[in-house]
Parts: sequence; C-alpha cells; structure tokens
Amino acid sequence: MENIETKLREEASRLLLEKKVDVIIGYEKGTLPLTATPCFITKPEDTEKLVWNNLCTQNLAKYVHDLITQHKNSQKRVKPEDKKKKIIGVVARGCTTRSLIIHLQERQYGRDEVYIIGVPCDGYIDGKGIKVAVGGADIVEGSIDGGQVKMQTSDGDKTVAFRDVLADNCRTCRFNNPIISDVMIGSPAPAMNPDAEYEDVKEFEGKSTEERWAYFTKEMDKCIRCYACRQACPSCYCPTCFVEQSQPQWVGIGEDPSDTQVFQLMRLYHMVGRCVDCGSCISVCPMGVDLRKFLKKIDKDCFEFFGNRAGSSMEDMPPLGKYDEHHDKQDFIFNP
Amino acid sequence: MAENLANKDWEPKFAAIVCNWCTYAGADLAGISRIQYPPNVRIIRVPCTGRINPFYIVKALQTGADGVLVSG
Repeated sequence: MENIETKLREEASRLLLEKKVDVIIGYEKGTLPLTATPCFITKPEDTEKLVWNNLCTQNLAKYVHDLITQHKNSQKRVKPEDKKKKIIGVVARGCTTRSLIIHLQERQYGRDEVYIIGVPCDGYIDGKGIKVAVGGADIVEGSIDGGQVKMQTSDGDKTVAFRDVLADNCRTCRFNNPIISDVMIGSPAPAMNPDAEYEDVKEFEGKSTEERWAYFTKEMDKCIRCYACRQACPSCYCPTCFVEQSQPQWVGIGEDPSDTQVFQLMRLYHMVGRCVDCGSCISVCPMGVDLRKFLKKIDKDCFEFFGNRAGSSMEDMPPLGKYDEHHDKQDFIFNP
Repeated sequence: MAENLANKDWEPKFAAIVCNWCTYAGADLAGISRIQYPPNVRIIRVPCTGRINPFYIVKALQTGADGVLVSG
C-alpha cells in the first residue's frame, strides 16, 4: 500500500506539473482517526497529502461530475473563443471507474475531460462495522497493519482483523480493479468473492411478501430523509431532484412514513442498471438503513433480465438507455 | 393489505391510467353499449401511456389505490 501511495503522489505531482490536469480529486487523511476524506489538489506540492489505503470510502466520481457541471455552468456566458477546458484527474478504484463509465455513457462529459488514475483496491473498512467491533467505544487512534486494525479506544487497546470489518459490498466485489484508466498505479489487486454476490438477496427473496414488506417498512422507518444517500451517490446527479420539485410535488415534506417510502422507492428505481454497489450511500447514512439489500435486488434483476452489470464496460450500454429492435427478447414482437 | 384480504366484503380500489386513443375509447364504447363494469375502477385519462411517469403509479398507491392498471 505504501508503495502505491508514493507512486500515486509522484504521478499526481507529475500530472499537475505537466499541466495535464487542472485538479486532482483524491483522498487525504481524515480529521478523525481511521478515516480518509476526499480532497481536491491543484498544486504539485500539495500532492503529499494524498493517501490511498483501506479507509478511502467515498466514491469520487460524484465529485468529478460536480466539478465538471460547475465548470460548465461558469463557462455558459463566456465567449466561445475564451472558453476554457478543465481536466479533472481522479484517483479511481473499480467502483469509481464504473461510475465514471455510467457518466460517460449517459453523456455527462467527454472522455477527454477526465484523467483517470487507476488504483487497485482490496476493500475498505466499514465505519459503522468497526464501531460495532469495538463495542461502541470512541476510537482515539488507529492504524492498519498487515491485515490487522490496531486501535486505541476509550476502552483500552483493541485489535480486530481487517477481514471482519470489511464493508459488505467489498466482500463480494466483482470489479475491484479499475475498468478504464489513463494510468494504472500498482499491480492489480487479488479478486474478492464475487460468487457470493447475491446470497443475501436470494435469502431475502425466499421470504414471504409480508415478511419482506415488514422488513422494508422497518428499514424505512429509520430513515430521517436527510438525503445524504442522494448527495453521496454518483448516479444521483439530476439538477433538480424529484424530492425538491414543488410543481408537482411528488413527495410530501412532512414526517408521514409513506412519504419516506416513496422517496426511497423512487430513488431505488432510479438506480436500475446504474447502481455500482460502491457503498457510498450506506457509509454516509446516519441511521444505518439497509439500502444495500434493495439496491442489490434491483442489480440482480437487471443482470438476470438484461444481462447487464452497471458500468462494467464502455461498450455495454445501460439497459434502459439502448434500443435494439432486432434482438428484443419479447416474442410477441415480430419482424414485419 | 393483509387485513383487507381477510375481510370477505372488502373490494379493492383501482386507478386505471388509460390512453385517450385506445383504452379510454374502449371504455367509452363499453359505456355507450351499456355494458356494466365495476365501479371500483377509477379511470384517469392520459393523452398517451408513453406520457406516464412512474411517479403516477407510486403516487396512486400512496394515496390509497390498491392497484394501478396501466393500459393503452
């Protein structure tokens, strides 16, 4: 890991010096122990801040979209000859590149506007999981060393195995290496356990309608509608989200449980063929809503019906975004 | 829903979102021909079913419909 970090810093500083990119989005050490936060680097000397470890949680594709949209909006009233192009460099692991592919397929920006610095990933630590592992104690200091997470907590020193606090989505990750990249740092990471990807979903599907509905309502009751999931999700980039629309108002703003359910249901539906299982929404959720179960079910259905995994390659267009009249699976449609 | 199903007298309410040019015309024709159809279907006419937003369906379910029929 240390080696990757050094190479990453060197590469980032070279890119900034050669003016190949205007800004690099990466991770820096967080203000709390055992955290890493996204950072934006514009000066070569600041690249020393960059880190790459098992604490890098958020999907950075979100920031790429935000920055490019912001830049494009600022260029709207500029004369064509004075328009400036901004190239965003991004430190991207597997799921980040999948999100970038989705953005590119949805024509949000051009391939030349992003410079992808690919990094291998062997999963990140689930912040809530580690809190549970130490019995809710406050973590004062922490480090990861050879598959062990060592911590000084308010309850004394604790050590947990890295494997035990790995985020759920990382355990069964299928794409832990970048799919597209302009430069790849380090050697590809070993595969995770993708065969077990849908086990949770299969178990859930086996339950009765009442049980599933009870689970859904129970999870949705936790939700306080802070919209952190939407803010963190790289696929949620509508300029005006449906929850903020007032004409018509799709979702009430009160505390009626059905409004929360409508919000979550519609957000889930917007994720069909677009969720890359990066776990950003789950990691930012302050209430610990089990969004992944529902997202994964949608992902499974999308794969079974359309044979598509969101953002798995540039050529594989999203199922709801392509129209193929000759290979339609429905047999009532015939060639005239 | 479960408690409703146990009740024998319960009848579900449906919202039928129908296309102006086919299903609505069909329903209209049924009316002209004096064919009875159950009153627990509430018809909502739209210019085209292609115009339906998934929100219509969710909103209908949220505000008390037991089922939504989209036809056209």
